[in-house]
Amino acid sequence: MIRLRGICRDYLVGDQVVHALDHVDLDIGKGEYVSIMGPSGSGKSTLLNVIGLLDRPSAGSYELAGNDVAELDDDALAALRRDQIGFIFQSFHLISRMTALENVELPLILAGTAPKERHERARQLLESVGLGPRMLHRPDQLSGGERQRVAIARSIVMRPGVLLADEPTGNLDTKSGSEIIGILEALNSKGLALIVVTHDPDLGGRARRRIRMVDGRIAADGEAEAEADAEARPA
Amino acid sequence: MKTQDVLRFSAQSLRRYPLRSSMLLLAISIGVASVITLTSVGEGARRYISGEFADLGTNLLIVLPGRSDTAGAGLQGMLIGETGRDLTLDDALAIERSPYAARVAPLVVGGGAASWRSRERDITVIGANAAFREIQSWQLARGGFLPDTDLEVLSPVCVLGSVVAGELFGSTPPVGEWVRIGDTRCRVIGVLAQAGMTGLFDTDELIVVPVANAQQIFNTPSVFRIFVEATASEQIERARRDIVTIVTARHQGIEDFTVITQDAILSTFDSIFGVVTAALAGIAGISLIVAGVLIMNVMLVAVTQRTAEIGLLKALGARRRQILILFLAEASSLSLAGGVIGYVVGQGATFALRTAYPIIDFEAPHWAALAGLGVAVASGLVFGLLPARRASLLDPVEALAK
Repeated sequence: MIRLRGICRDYLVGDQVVHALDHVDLDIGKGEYVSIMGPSGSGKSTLLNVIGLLDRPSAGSYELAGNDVAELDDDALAALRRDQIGFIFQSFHLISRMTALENVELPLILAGTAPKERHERARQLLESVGLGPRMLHRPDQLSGGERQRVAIARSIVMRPGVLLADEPTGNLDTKSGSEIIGILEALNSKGLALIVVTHDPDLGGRARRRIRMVDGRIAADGEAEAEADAEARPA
Repeated sequence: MKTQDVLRFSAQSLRRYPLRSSMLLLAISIGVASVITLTSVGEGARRYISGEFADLGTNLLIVLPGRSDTAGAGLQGMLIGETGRDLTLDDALAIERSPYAARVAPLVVGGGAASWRSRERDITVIGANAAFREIQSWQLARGGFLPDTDLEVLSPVCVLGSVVAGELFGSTPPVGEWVRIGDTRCRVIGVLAQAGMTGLFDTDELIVVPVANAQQIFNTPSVFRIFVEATASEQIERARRDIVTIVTARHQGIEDFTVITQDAILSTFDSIFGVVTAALAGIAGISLIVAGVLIMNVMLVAVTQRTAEIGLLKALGARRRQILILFLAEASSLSLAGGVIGYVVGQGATFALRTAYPIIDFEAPHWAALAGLGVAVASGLVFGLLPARRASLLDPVEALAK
């Protein structure tokens, strides 16, 4: 469902061009569990942002769920982000003035879903991540692990096809971190593609498919186990 | 996105940032309130002055000696020391015969000392006749006004202004007492009702004597002004021409006097006070600009701080239009609320001024109130929307990083 060909992303730093992504080719299929690792500045977050439509590639083609992204205008990109992609950030990015429930409802509000239905959906999701009793709390009244669980509920409330997580445990202690990973993996086991960017080799090692990036290129792309999704391999 | 969701979203963000919201409300309301209050002062002053001149009486013409324009013998006359002839009682009598003149009141004005027993004070002495009271609409507190006799008749009587009466007589009833003015004595026959400044005079601080007596006191054959009331307002122009003809004939064919109509005075003062109001509106405009800059800063800071939020909304799939609608709702509700508060405060201040100084009719002109509201609301909207628009044009990753 994700198909990158010759993707470049250049930044101008001072008067020097930095190639954050340097001709990346990548295919990721439905329901895959992929980790992207690499040293700082290797372009792994940039890659995730391009996949998540938060950033535009400087060159190359990107096909998401059958859409050629380069041909889409701003509104179509917004709709694609809303319907196809769930994004989880290291720093949660919850809106601090809203309750957990309202934060989870936000994508549904933007999509124009009726209040009753979106209430119900957001409530169910918060209960499924174990936040049922705290859904009327605001982010500053929640722990880091709880905030990330709110963010996960928000990322899947539109039932996307792929979940992108940028250092999802980076701001969490080990225990909350492993709880978060547990939730993400449970979602993946229900068929949601999961792409995790991380520094943490333990976390990265859990993925069936591990991509290693160095200097904006994919240095290694391998299966953890031989029987993992053969059809999703890069051609 | 549904309307009630938009409203809830903006209401929530206004409630959750009370400092920012109240700062903006303050900035906008100060702007609007100062425009309304300042222009109401200017407008009040203008109305007060034109009201004072309306008190001169309707249909009024005033004849004064000398030419006030450059067309006549004015400049030349001044250079060679010729000031033209004074107006006299005979001029007034001649004008009285005009069919367009309903009332004629020659006026002599001078300063003098008035005394009763041991008390004495300096005072404005006015020589007038019975018609002058009608023209000025003066009311009497006690006694009567000057008798309606021929202009040349000397009669040792006087009418006092209320303050003069109080200062000279204290608690003694003044009517019937004899007052000394300069070298002459006259009997008090009435006291004017307290009225303050009406038209040209402070009616509380003067003594009115028959015009012939005033000429004697000041030892002059001339009169200071001749007030003429036309028979009807449509006859003012005809009355003016008639007066010019009559008095010119009496002055050997030289038009060495000026006839002014109340309209001319009023329009002069109207234009002067139009300038005053414009100046105050300028001050108000400056305060509006200051308020606008304040609004601009608070809005810029507030929305720029929320660039990350805009990035998040985009990441969650908000279209640019939706983001703009959200911020427009927020900015417009703030601006409108601030505008309304400012309007109420401004009108309240105007009302307080009116209560404190009831003789002046303070009221902001509608254009000023509307312009104040408009500018404040518009700057709130523009500076609320501009940064939101800029943030919404960024790629989400850029906005999120802010």
